[in-house]
Amino acid sequence: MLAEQGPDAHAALVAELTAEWNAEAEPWEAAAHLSLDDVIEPAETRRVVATAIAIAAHGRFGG
Amino acid sequence: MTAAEPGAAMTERIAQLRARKERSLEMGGPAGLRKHRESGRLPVRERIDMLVDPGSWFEIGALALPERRTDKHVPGDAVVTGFGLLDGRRVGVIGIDASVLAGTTAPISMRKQGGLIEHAQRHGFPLVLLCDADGGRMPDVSGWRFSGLPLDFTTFLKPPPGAPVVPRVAAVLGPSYGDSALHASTAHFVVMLRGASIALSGPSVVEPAIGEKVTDDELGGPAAATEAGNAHLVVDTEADAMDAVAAFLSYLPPNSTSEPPWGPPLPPSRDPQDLEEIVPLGARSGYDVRDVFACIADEASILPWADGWGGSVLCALARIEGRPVGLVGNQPIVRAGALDPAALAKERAFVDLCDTFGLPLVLFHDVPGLMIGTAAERGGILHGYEALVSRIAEATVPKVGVVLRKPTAAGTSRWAGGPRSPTSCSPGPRPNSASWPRRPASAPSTGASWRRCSPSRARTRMPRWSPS
Repeated sequence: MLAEQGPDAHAALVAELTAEWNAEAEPWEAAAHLSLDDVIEPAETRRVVATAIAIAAHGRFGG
Repeated sequence: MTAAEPGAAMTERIAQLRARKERSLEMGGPAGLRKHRESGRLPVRERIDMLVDPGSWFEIGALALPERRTDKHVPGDAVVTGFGLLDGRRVGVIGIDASVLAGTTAPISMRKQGGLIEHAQRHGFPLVLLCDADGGRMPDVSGWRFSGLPLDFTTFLKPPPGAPVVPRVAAVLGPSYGDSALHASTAHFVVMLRGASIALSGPSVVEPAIGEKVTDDELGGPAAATEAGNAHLVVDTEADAMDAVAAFLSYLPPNSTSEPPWGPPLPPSRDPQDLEEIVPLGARSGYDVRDVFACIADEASILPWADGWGGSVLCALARIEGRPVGLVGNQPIVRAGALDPAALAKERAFVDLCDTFGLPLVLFHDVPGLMIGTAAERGGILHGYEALVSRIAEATVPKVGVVLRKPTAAGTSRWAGGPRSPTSCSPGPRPNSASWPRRPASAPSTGASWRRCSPSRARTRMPRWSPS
């Protein structure tokens, strides 16, 4: 079907799907659905890691 | 060391992130926040700032969005979750954001709350629940969506059997129905604002469903909520509510495997010798058992627990020579202290709280007996009594019984868990007054001064506790 419509239609579909999939792969989407707790700036990484460890190191009562 | 210069693409990504982070803090936006404030309530982020120690807030899920999205921006899916320090001790916080979509619950917000609860329970620290919401969000949770809600009842309401229990405290800061009310009903301590309300369903659902026309206040305002045992303390301001949350947690360990934190030993607010006059010898005279508490507990250490529920017995958290304890006393000026179904249910819940978190129980006996007759029987006095006696018997914390005046068989031997379980004294031996300095006669007559356990004071009272 797509082949009959020519290379432009193919390219348009590729562009549409790529845009859609890229949008789905954005970190904002993962965070919006809670696959991520947060999205952080690179420079914050050390501080955030240290705080997250401090919170989780309070006790160990389950996996 | 010089910072590396980021490429243009990274600069652009960081700018996008900052813009999204900024939007995630908007809550209901200018219009939603104005309406919220006009109803006398504070925005959820101001509440959290008031609750946790400055600079300690660590948020998760700020970038969450509703599963079912519309043009309306719903930051964080109408709930704020994170961790902070309260008087230097770790807590998890769930703050419902009622300034957007009335703080209603939807799948993402539910998963966010469940995740926060699981984290606090897995690592053993208390949960603070700031309740202010109007139930489930329609149509986000209607029809088939309801059965697919990401709610795990094996962890959401309490830890699984055998896992350590963490203290849960709820502050009811607005009309709280549905999930917000359920949150509060899981809590060991519920403080509510005088203008707030709490019920399973609000008036807007009650009237069309069963034809009962009722106001928020009539249905679940402070009088109704305390009488039903849904709220334990009523306060006037949100700042008072946060102080009460901090005060309650100051008596408890972070979880049921740890010891409660001690404070410095302090003299009682009333001279223990006053007990000679407070408790009359005549069996028919009344007195306020809170005066007895004031002679026993360290000054400014008494936090009343649910005085408005089953008022013929009073319960309070307190410290004796610095050690956190639970005080239970028959209240002779309420129905002569006779125990009705509400009083039994309340005492059972309080004994459970103290036994769970390792607080010794001090039981002051002056009880004519249980209420009998039709009303008491229909209210379930029989199984209520059995449940209380069983729970006291099961409690493994130290139990000290003090017979103040007139115990009955039910009042002493069973009420306090059997004659040999508690150390019963009649009447209680006076503490050595040399080590309990006399207070001036102008000292307050009751020790109910929980406000003085506010965060700044509590911080100085927990020298043995160090945050991890």
